[in-house]
Amino acid sequence: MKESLFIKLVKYFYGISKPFDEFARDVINDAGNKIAIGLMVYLLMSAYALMVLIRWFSPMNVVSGVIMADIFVHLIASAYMSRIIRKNKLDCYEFDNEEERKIYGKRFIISRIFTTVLTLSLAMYPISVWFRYLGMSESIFPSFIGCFIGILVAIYTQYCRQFKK
Amino acid sequence: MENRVREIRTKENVQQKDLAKSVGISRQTLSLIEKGEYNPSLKLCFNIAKALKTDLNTLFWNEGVE
Repeated sequence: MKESLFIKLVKYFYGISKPFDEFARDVINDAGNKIAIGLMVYLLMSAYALMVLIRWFSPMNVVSGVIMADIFVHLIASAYMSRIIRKNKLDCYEFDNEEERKIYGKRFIISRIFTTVLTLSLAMYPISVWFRYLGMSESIFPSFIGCFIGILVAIYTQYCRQFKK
Repeated sequence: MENRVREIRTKENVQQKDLAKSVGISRQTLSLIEKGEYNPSLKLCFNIAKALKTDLNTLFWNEGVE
């Protein structure tokens, strides 16, 4: 069955390794709707809170708070989606022999490292600006190295869970 | 929903992965359908029946339930 570019994007974004059949679609739609409602409520509330807070606090502090809150909400949404995907085993690869296991294993490692490098390189500039604003310029490089090592360990753990016998 | 997918698939000597591939679903989804833990759409039911060379009544109709 041919998958559209959008379906491929959805699968890549959520780390789904199986055919995007109706079961996977139901699971993703259900979780996606819950996240969308949560985000809409959060955006509305944060916009109202901003309008009020900006009256008493300095705009720079309010913006800093909003950035941190946005990142926190993004993490919650990602964690929720990951939990749903893991619970329904949509991230598990289905392979029948050793050759397929090796191919899927390689594909898994390459795609995860590609995503990590892309994300970190995109995030590098805004985060370094943010660190400079906080007066923590000397912590930029160690933080990135720490993040990178942490992500590599997470990728390896996930690889072991799925591909090691 | 109780069904006879596993029974008929075994009788037809079709492997789970082959049936899943032929109807465009994952093995996990087919396993859930066979266990009655996931209710497939009519379109998928029809495709499964077609792949197993049978009909919807034979696969999914439970005579014990009124």
